[in-house]
Amino acid sequence: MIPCDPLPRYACHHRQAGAEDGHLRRARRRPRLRDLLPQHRPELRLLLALPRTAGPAGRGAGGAERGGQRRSGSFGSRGSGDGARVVRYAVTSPEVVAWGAAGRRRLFLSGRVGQSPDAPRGDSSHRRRYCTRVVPTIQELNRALPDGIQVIREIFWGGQRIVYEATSSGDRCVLKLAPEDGRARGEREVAIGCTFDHPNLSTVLDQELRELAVNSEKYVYFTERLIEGESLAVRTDPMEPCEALLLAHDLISAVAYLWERHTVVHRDIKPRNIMARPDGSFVLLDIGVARHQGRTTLTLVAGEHQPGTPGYLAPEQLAPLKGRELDYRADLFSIGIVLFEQLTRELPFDPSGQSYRTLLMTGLAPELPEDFPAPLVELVQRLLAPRPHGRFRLDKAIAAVSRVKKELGCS
Amino acid sequence: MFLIQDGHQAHTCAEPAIRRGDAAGIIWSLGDQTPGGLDRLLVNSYADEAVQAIDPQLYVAPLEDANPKKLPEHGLFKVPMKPRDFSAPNLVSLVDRIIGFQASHRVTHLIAPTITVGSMADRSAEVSANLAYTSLAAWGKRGDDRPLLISVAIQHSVLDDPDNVDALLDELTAYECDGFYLLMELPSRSDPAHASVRLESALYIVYMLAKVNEYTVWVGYSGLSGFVYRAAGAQASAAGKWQKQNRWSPDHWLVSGGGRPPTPRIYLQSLLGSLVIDAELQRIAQQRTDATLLTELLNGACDLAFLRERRFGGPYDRSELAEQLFSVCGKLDSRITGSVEEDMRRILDDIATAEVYLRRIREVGVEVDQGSERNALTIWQTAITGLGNRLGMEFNSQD
Repeated sequence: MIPCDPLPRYACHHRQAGAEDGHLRRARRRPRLRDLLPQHRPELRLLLALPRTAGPAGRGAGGAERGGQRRSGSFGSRGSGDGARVVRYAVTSPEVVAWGAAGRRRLFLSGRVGQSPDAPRGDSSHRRRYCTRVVPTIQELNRALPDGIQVIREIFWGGQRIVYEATSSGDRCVLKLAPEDGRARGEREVAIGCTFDHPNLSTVLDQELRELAVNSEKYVYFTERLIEGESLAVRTDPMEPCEALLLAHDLISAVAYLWERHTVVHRDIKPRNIMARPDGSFVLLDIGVARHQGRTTLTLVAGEHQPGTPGYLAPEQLAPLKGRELDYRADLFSIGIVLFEQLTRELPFDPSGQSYRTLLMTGLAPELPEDFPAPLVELVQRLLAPRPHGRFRLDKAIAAVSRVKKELGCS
Repeated sequence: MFLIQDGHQAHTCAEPAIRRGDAAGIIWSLGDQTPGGLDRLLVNSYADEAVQAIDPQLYVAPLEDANPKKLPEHGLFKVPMKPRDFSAPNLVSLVDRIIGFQASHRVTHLIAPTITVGSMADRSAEVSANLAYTSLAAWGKRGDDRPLLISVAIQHSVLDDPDNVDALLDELTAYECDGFYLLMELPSRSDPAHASVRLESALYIVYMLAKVNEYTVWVGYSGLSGFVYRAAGAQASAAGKWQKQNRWSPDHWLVSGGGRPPTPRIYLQSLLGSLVIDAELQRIAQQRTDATLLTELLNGACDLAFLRERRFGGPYDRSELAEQLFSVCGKLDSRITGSVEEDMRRILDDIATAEVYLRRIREVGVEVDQGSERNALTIWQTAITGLGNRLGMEFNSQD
């Protein structure tokens, strides 16, 4: 066993929604929903707003919840007791923080999730650790960054960090900025990511996490190699089988490298974390929620609030197997989902469906339509096996993809 | 391939079986051989080309009332061992000794030590996993070219529970090893319904490990039913001279008061089972109602000249009978094609044929031991059909 590293205590404030934060008071006034979700995050689909009119558990007047149909996905934090004035939202991603953005003030989530100690029995509400920051402008950032590093534009923001395109000593790169509360996660990502040497994985360029102070707020950041190409998330047309097999090959190679060299499980393989390069190859991004087996996880595990993205989770991520650590086979399952989605433009397990959890746990994944080649159908079915032992061993997975490529005559 | 499961004096009949090609090799029993005896046996010339491995039998050590036989003489571990002896820090030197002992002998495969698992939720599963990981580390450190088989010993309680079976498979398939040496407890005295569920679970484990995850799988102590495991994907099964080598159970290692000697049996490919020589085969040979029955039954039963000369009467030489068993096992094994569907389909056909023979035997007035042979066929049939349903495969003949 690899000894556990002593981890710095996560410093983010642990608050509950509806507390003293001014931004959250604004949220209670129910801002226009469309303004709260970032336009470039299509997967962050707002499911429903849950007005809290009575009681700490939020049951009562609200929409779908009144009908007893609590949707899967993540829920906003519970109220501080005066539940009558608290607004809750459910979104399809754990990055529930999307609702917290208003102007330049944004809410960052630590990723740590814990069962609310004061939650009534049977209530699945969770509290999340978060903090809010007025994010710096690009001009403010560039003034604070050391010479040689210049931010060009914001690429994306999420619950953990903001990602910018930047230049470092004249070379284009990606700069990932997080509140200082995200230090432990960032340190882990840099420590692992800077050692990567694999064509299908992004590489962290820095050897250590760097600090930055803007407007008296402390941040941490690091740079990564910029991957040219487009995110799979922006694609709308079904993928051709041969390209899907190339995608499978590249992703499995990346997962194999992560597991065999670093004992790391990515845990969040989804189209937004996959870049398609102009040369046709694919790169797996963002090991922000990766699990290093043998080390203490940075992300607590609590029921369905496992790190990862609903719709792309393996069954054992949703309901951890007793006595078993997550291993690379969870990533293989996610690869199976990505392949299914890219081939059909549909998710095999709809996370907004009422029976998402049941379907996922029982393994009733739909088969690819019959017009797909049988070897490809079998490959995807194997990746989507409900139990890890029904999937592939790593070397066998790569061999299976090569075999199917050959059978389909793919180059 | 078919292997001989070593037991008390089994080596006396191993040589002819290996020389004839009935068996591909032998799994030596540490508890049945003295250190000097094992050294001599392993370098026998007949074993030059044979598969040889040593079952370290650590699973005997946790038993409080075990009969350790010759295990303590090898100085690898004491019997009994206390739970604290299996704590993770203690395992390193223990495993190193056991792997090192095997590596220093002329074996073709190394077998990792294990203990018996009663449930995937208790400490035995944890210790078993620790032993496996420690063995893999010790083997990796030695840089030995010979394959390491992780041994897995499971009680019938694991086979009774599908969740336990799934949990076991999730654990085993996480190992980066060449394969497994499976020891599965299938009690002989259980009702056919329970027994078929257990056998189906056992076959499912073999199939998932061998066919889906592409590990090498040996099923130890499998007796005549080894060919069913082979059909499910196992690369090897093993049978021995004595009943205790043909059905694995930790209970076989408990101190017992002894018993009566086993009833001499002859094994028949036609019946996929055996007949008691005195009470059953002799009477079939003497009856005149069904003229072709004896010839048909003995078809494929190998060389039975020694029995014919004595008109199917005593005295019986245990070695001769063991050789006859090995010969039938070898024949059944040689029919395995590697296609699960084809092999299982043929076994179901063979079972149907065997049932016809059993009916004919009853019709000539001979009552075959109800408790074993007929039940075994029913259990196999139910288990194989159940496995087919579970895997979405059609094993029953189309015609």
